[in-house]
Amino acid sequence: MTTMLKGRTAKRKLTQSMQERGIKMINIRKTRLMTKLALYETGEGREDIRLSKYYKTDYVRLQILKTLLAVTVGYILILLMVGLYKSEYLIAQAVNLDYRAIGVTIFVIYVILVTIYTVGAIIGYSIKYDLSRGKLTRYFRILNIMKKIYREEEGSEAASEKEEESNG
Amino acid sequence: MVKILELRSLLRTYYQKFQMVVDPLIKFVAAFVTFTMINKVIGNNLKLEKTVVVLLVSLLCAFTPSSILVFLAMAFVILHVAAVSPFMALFAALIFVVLYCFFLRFAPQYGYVVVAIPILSTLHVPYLVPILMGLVANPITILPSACGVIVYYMLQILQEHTVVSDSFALDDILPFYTKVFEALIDCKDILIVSGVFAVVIIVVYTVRKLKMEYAAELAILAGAVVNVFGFLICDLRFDTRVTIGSMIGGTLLSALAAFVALFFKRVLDYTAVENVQFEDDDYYYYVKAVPKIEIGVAKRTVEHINAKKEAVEEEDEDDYEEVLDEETGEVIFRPRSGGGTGGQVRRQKGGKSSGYFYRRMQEEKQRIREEEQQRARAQMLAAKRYESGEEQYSADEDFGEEQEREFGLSGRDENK
Repeated sequence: MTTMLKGRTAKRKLTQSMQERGIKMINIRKTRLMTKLALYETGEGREDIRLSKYYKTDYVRLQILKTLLAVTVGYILILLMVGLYKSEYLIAQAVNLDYRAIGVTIFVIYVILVTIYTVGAIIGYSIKYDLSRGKLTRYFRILNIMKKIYREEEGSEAASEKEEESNG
Repeated sequence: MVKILELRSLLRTYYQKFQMVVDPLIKFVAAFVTFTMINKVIGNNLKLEKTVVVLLVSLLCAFTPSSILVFLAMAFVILHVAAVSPFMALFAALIFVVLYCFFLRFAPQYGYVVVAIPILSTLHVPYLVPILMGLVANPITILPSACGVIVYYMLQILQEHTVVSDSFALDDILPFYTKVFEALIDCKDILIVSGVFAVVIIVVYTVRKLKMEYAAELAILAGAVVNVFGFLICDLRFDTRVTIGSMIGGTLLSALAAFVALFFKRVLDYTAVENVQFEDDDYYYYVKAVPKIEIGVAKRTVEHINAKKEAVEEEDEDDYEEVLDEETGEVIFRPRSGGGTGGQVRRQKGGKSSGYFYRRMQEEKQRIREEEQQRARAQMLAAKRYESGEEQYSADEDFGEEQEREFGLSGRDENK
């Protein structure tokens, strides 16, 4: 006569039989945590994880360099457009122009622009880095829990192997 | 209020069900409107104006990130200008690059703002953008919104001044180029509108972040007020091209739209179903994560104002509270929630009137109270007598007597 097993006994028996056949049960807790991690990694966390590979100073410095490059390119393009706009005057007065004064003006404007953008970049990217750190702490906490779960699983596997050895 | 809550839960449920359709559909409509508007404003390239082209490009935008929409919109503008004057198209492209270098690269995720401002400007409600950005984003959106303003005015100027010419010879193009460039530099509106938008974004963001009730709603109102006053002051000080009437109307409409957007944001935030894939040593996981939603279905309560007596008597006892009617001295049962008005007062049925039971209860209470008082008086007297030395007895005796009285043992002793 077959008896229906219920509750914990059934679960234990099922787990045992699956372990004997080399099949592992899905760990619900682990799945939940992994889902949370995957959601974060594919969503807003992608950028945070990318930032986590840098030190703060390195990251901010790199961004300042990129900003300087972008500002320089933009400034050169603006100069080109202004140059074309004033081309008639420039060609006509090519001999009489005070090139030094023009150069100094262009340079001063450039320095002012670069200063503004550098300060802005330092502030902006520092804030961005700090914010990403805050969000990452939660992510790392879940990772630590996952590590613990894996260790427990390994521990139980090692224990069952030992049992088998002693039985054999 | 209950209606709004019901609508909210209904919206959430439907959004989760049809999210796969709704999201691309919204993007498709946005893209379609964008390309149609561009065609309407500077429609020079006849190939791009074909409905099939617009539909196909919108379809592409429906399933790709918003940055693709921004890129394609800029490409559309350049191609339209190129159909008339290739040189001016080059000029437009250069301006786009400059805008990217100076503004957009710091907030690429808000690229859609650059498209939204020109589109909404043609509908006379560009004020929605700064209010919304202050509400949902952060002050960095000042940069893309400034970008959007520049693009809008640039398109207008290009449309006004571009003359058909396919030549690249400097002599032919220089006069037009000079005109366009001068118009762009002289356009004070760019600075004024960008400035007011920046102030609006900061004000809305600051008010929204305040820790108080209805901060978001107040932020929208504050943004609208600052917007109106900002443009009024600028109009008085500098002569702008902004018409006051349409500005005030547009601001009101924008504020209204912002309220609607706020409602939808609150309803649909964090309700989207997410599909994720991952694996461990043993399994591949394909997980569909559905956020839990509490659906508050309204409790339907039917109140019979002129119901029959039998129907009233069947009602649950717990819904009534027992109250003394001061006029008649009777205990009446009043509906708990009704507060005496609207609900029916029910008098207890049965052989004896409810007043009889009430009086009996009061009498019993009075009797117990009097007994307690008598006992306390007796104890006090005994204590006084003991102190003054009139009576002397041992504590054991006292305890024994007390115990006997309590357990009814004295009667048994008598029987012995």
